[in-house]
Amino acid sequence: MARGAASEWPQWPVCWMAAGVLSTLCALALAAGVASIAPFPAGTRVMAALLVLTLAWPALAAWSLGTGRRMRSALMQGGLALCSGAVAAAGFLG
Amino acid sequence: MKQTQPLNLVRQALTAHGLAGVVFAALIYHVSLTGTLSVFAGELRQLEQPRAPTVGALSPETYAVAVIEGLRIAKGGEAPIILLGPTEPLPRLEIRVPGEGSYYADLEGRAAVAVETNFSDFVTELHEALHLPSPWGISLVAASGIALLALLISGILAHPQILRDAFKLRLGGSARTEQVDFHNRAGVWGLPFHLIVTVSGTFLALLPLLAAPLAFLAYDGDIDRAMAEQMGPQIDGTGARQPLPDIAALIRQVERENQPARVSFVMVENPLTDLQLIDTDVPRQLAAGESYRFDGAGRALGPAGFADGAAEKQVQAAMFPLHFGTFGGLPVRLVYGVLGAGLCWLCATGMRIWFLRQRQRGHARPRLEKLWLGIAWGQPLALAIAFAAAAWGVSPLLAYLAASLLLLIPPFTRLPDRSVRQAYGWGAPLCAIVGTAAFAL
Repeated sequence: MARGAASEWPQWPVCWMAAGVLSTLCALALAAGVASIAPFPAGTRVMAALLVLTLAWPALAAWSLGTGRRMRSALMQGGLALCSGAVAAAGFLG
Repeated sequence: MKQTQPLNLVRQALTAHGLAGVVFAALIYHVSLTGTLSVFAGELRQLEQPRAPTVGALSPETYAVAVIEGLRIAKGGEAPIILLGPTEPLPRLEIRVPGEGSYYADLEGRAAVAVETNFSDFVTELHEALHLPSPWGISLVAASGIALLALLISGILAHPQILRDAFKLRLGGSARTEQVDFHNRAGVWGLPFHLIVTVSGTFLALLPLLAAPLAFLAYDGDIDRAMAEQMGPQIDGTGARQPLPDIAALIRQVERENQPARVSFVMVENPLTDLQLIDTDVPRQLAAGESYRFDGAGRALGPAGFADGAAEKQVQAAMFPLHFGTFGGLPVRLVYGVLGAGLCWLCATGMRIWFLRQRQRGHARPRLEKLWLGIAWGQPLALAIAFAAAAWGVSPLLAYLAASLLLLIPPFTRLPDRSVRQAYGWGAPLCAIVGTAAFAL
């Protein structure tokens, strides 16, 4: 097998796990956080959350696909998703 | 040479661009192609039924007659009655009763011809949800929008001298350099359009999927308040049958109070008991329209606020016109058509660059190249075949599925790629001409 191909393919599951699943979770959690606690009227929060989702999701996916430091990006996205999810839950319940 | 961005960032952006492009190319190409056709849905509907009655500006009395016709079509049931007024791309009055039928009305508002726009309906549904059940179809379309946005973001980051290279086109060199320049120039010059249609399209796809849960969070679980604030005043139907209010008087009132707006949509949500919606166009604004609501007795409940309400409502109302170019008449739609075709071409050249790069690295992927040839050149032909099939009364969906599968075969035979491209390239306009002639006859 040509050099490069051997090292490229095994990384795909990791890469797509970060770009597909983690970036989705992270963007959804960010949107939920915006919907819950952003300092706007409720209707504006819904629209702002959708716009954040529309823009943050592809940005995070592109970052996950391009970065060479996949573990670091995965941990950062995971952490961001957890924090945003916790903020969203606290905002909703509080 | 001074770089404006670190090389590492450019390399990472290129990696992301390549990966997202290869995996999502077919889906993005497909959604872009059907979207470009959907921009001309009004013209396509006219083409499919050239002899249906054409109407101009309608009087309130005509709408009132059409509502009565809708009641007749509904056969006393509780299906909503929807009147779609004439627009610039489609100067027809449609009476639609979901579950019962749709008819084009004549100048007096009477149902004249059953609506049979199978190809237009097929293409728009293909663009919006790929003919897959909810939420899978619309989720895939949203994913294609996210992937395209990721490609745009990574494409911009991978291009540190975006302004300086704006006119660079190295023809006559290597095939890859030529393709890269074509790809980059088309991408850069069309960037504002690509961003607008992709953000608005992704937003429109995500809206039905996620607006309700986000509104649940934002309104602390009060969905009734969310509905009233976001969609306009709501009422609880009493369930008691009552006579229809004077629709013509309501339309006159709406048009008088909102000159020079004209009514373009009327909906009786639950005939004889419930909410009546009367929508107008909004001249000189981007919003698709304003919605005025009345209860079953004809009492005004107020406007929804899409034209001059809260910012989020105006943004929401502007997304559809922005996505389909319905805000500036035929010239804007033509620009959307050209730039939409450019987006398809951008997708095709992107894949071509990837294949050439793989070849140069010694990782040629001949089967993928053949498959892509079948998709990139086969899909326009498959859609044209579906159009011609619809003209002969064959289901466009079946024709499209069969053609899409069959057109993947020739690239894998001994036929030269060039012959396949030529055959598919000439076949598409030929089928479109045959279909147009068949509809006209």
